[in-house]
Amino acid sequence: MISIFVESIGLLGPGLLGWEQARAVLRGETGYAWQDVPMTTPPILPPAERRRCIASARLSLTTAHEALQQAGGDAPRQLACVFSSSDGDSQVITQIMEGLAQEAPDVSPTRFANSVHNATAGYWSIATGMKQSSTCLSAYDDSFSAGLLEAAVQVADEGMDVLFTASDVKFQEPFFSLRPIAVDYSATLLVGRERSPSSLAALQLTLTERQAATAMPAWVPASFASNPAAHSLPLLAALADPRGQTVCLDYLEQTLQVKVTPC
Amino acid sequence: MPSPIYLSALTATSALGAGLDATLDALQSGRSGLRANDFQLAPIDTWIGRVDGVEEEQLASGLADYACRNNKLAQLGLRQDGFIDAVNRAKEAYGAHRVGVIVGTSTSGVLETELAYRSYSKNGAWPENIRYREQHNLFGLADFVRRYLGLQGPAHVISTACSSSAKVFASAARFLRQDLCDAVVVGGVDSLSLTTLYGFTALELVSTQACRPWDAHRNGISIGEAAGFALLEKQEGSDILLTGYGESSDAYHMSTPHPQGKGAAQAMQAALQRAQLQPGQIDYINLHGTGTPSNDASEDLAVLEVFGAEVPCSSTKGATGHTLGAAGMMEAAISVLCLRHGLIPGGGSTTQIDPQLKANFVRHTKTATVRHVLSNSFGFGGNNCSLLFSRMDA
Repeated sequence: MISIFVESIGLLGPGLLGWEQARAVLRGETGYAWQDVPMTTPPILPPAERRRCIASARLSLTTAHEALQQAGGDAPRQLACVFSSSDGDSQVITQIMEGLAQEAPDVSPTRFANSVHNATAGYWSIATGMKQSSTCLSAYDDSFSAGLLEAAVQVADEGMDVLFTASDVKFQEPFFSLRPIAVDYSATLLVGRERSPSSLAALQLTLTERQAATAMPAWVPASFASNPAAHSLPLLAALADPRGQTVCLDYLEQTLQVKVTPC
Repeated sequence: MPSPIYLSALTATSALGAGLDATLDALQSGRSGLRANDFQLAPIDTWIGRVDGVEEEQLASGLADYACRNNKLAQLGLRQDGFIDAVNRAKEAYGAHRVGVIVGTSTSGVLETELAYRSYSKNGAWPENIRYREQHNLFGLADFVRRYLGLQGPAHVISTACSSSAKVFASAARFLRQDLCDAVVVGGVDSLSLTTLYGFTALELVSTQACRPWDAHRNGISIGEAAGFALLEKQEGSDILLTGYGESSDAYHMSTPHPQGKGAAQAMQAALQRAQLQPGQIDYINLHGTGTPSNDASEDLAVLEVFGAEVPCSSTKGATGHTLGAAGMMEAAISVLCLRHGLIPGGGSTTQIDPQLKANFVRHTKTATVRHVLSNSFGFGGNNCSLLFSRMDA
């Protein structure tokens, strides 16, 4: 079992515009209403990078920035980063494939540099000056639980605070028919090894034999399930619950069981 | 030294040949695997490190959906050096759910998507045989390796451009120490694709000749492909240890390294610190050494800052090409060969060392006492990882 503490949370999905607002919805204090995810660019990006920055990075940087601010503002703080995304940036993939399908194949240099799975981590470190480890991974539909496990293992083993972000952007045709991710969604958890005065909750993570995964809250639109990062919602609902909960997340052939105890 | 990690099995396949014997023979004799580009799908004026026999590889039965150049190369790699037997031993000893698979790739099976998209552009429909999950998605590589080896432990694919399959060693070491696994198959596989061949050409980072790291006239990389794997365990049972690793971010630029190599130096220092070794104890550094003017200049400053100008170093990319997401693993395998055979491989393609570069770059292969080897891998987005391997008897 691995024990970590959640220091702050960032969240962006349709109708879930930041942790404050989403927590009220997750607690049932306010009703859920669909609203498209606004494509904003976090103000921390320098102007040159802002021009080049791609949709997937804008989305994940927004929740990473929210979590950082919640945890005490923009003071330079050295954190390791874990970014988990099943599919990276669908728009960049489509544009590169189009360029390569031309009679004279051509790729824009900026687009190629943006095609790496760690583009988000690159923009993040440039924007924040963070120079610690950044790890970018994929585990297809289980990318959220795999990323959370990697982040927790880094916290436990290295003793560093870790900023963990899971995000995926929606696909358009023609790739949508191959990978039907229908919504944009990003969630960030800032996690650490020691309990602090501002800790929100303790998490105890255990790999168990396969059990049924905790269901999404009933009000969540069905399309959310298409986004691997949105598989975080049962855990976020537990984090919003003042009594805490134990949630089960699908993890390959096993289950990642997470006991949430509010601080 | 805090809880060492044992490297109990190893294999590598690249342009130097399939398996460790072919790799060692090439390193000892100074043979390069690079050739004038004959990858007909991307007729670019360059040299490449192509693996023979990838096209002919037939995937194991039941895994037809995974058929793509990258997974074929992965299977060709897994079949070498008795690696499957070693994994089976671990599986029997620990159970399939206790053996993890943490592998790196930068482009997975993108070549098949590139070809499928051409067909889509013409016909307005995807071809029948496209399998996005198994071929294109990054996790397709780990999924394929798990199924081929019959493993059910923790798994993910790390994709941080050219440091991907160096970072898998750090991730696996942590999973082992935190007792989520008893053994982990780590590895890296990247294969030739239009995206990388045309993409690096667009960035003007591709050489028209075989790449010449550290050379005064170096003018870019030679793109290669490779598949390498290692089995890491907590339990004693090997002559080689993973003693250190260091990871860092440049926080500087998306496709250019920090000019003073600050992030690279930070990664090397962290690896030394973890291994509790002094710079003077390192017998050889396998450089990232891509052969672009800015990469080598930046890495040279980083090496000087941490090690001074004494420690012998070289880049083996003049032999293998730059195997991108597989480079960390490929060069980890070369580092282990150096430890086992007392070898310091020369950067044979380099003819005239750049007088601006001050590190002790070795041009001709030689034998030496080699107890500790550091291997560097640095990627786009300023993502750095250094690995440190040591002989058990060091």
